[in-house]
Order: sequence, then C-alpha cells, then structure tokens
Amino acid sequence: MARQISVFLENKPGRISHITGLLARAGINFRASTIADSGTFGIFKIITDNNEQAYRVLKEAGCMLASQEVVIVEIPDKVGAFHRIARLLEKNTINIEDVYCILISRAEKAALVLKVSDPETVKKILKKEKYRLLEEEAL
Amino acid sequence: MPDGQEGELVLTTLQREGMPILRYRTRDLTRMIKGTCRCGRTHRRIERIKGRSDDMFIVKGVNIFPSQIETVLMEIPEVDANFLVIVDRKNGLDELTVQVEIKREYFTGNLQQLRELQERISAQLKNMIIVTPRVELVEPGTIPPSTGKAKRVIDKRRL
Repeated sequence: MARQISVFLENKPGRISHITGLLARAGINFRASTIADSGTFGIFKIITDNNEQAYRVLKEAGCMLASQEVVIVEIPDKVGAFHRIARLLEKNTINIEDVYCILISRAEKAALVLKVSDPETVKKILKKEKYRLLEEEAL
Repeated sequence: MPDGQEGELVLTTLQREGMPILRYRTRDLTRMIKGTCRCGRTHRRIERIKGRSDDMFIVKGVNIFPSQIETVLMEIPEVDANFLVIVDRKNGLDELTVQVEIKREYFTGNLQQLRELQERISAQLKNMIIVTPRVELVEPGTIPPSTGKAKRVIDKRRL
C-alpha cells in the first residue's frame, strides 16, 4: 500500500527548510513532493524512499502530520498518458481528490500519485486495464 | 451599578481596621446576582469574572474581551485554548485576526476539513463578539502557552 505524508505548515519563510532539513539529516531521500496551499497555511505532501522512518522523524520533531493512502500508477512518458488515466477514472465516476505527476525516466516512464476516497476500487480498475501499480519504494 | 448589570468590581471592607480597603477597583468585570443560590445561600453573589476591564479592546466600535474568545474556543474540540488576537487597520477599517492552534490528533491531511474548521470558528466567534474575525490556523506549539498574564492581544493600529 502506497502512502504519502502530509505535513501542516504555516505559510512563512523557513517552514519548508525545517522539514527538508530534518529529513536530510536522517538520510531520507525525497521521491516526490507537492504543496496544497490555503492562504496562511498549507499542506506539504511528500513521498520519500522510507516513509515509515520519515513519519517517525517528523513526528518526533513535533510536526503536525498525517499519513494517507495513495494510489501510484506507472504511465509511459508520452502525450496523452495522463489523460487516459483521468478519462478512465471519469468513466467510472471516480473523483480525483488530488493528483500529481512524477517523471521517473525521461521519455520512458512517469507515475501519477492519486488521492481518491476508495483506493481499492481504483486499484482494481487500473489493474484491469493492465496498469502497473507502484509502492513508494519503487519510485 | 444596578443589580444584574455588568461592571467593574469595587470593594470596600467593612470590618478590617489594620488595612482597610476603600472603593478598591479590582478591574475585574462581573455583575451582582440577587436571589437564593441553588446551594441555599441567600446572600447576593457575584457572577464568574468575565474578564478584566483593562483587557478590553474595541474593534469596529464593538467592545471585546479576550475571555469571550477563549470561551468560544474552549467549546471547539479541534483547537487548543491558546490563541492570539491581532487587531490591525487596513484602508481605514479595523481587521480582527484570531490565530489558533489545531490539536495534532485532529489533523488528517485534508485541506477541505481545515477550511471548514476555519469557517466554523469564525462563525462561532461572530455569534459571541458580533465582529467576524479572520481565523488563522497555526502550527501547534507556536503560540506562547497561557500563563494567566500572557499577552493575548496585539494591537497594531496607530490611532
């Protein structure tokens, strides 16, 4: 089961470097990150090469955070690949709450990180279409 | 002050001789309550202290006490009782901002939930203090803990 860590951050200088510093010192590598911002605060969403340890390190440092299940699907790095996934989920009337794209290998492989309310159903739909699902370690 | 009306508590001792107090202004805000208490006591009582007269601040012509804000926040389980009020004036209009800390256990990573919480806090504060404040959510542990005399209101207006 793939997961992302969501960290609550105030929107002011130094908050991101606080997190990146903690993870760097713990020897944890970033795989993907994105921010959902809402004015004076935001949610920093990260996937690392060791989410379990990252969660522990940030928790011990006093961060307010949550671990959320996501679906990571491998797609080819080609025009229309993202659209095919979006269209496939649309046809199944599945709402994408959040999505971001990661390039794994240029002109070859990319991945989409999807946040949906029912990950199991989405996994089944994607598997049926022969898509490969990834764990965060595989990124 | 007539009974039941809110005002500052002023004390005068009747029996002390060594160190009497004459019309001592406590700066505590309360009101006198007439009638018999549930416990059977018949003497007049004072209501729970609402705040201190010198804590009061005025926003858009409305008198606000920090204790009113605290009362509202204490009834919202998702937030800590610590808060900070910032009053500013932009384009000639008073702006009231209330910073609150969310409790760790209520954070799920869902942005929508936080926005709804912000709106709910703002609406409940408005019910109490008439003015609609801007509510800012801040990281836990960033507001100095309440020590009784902690500074709860920062007034940036230059009046």
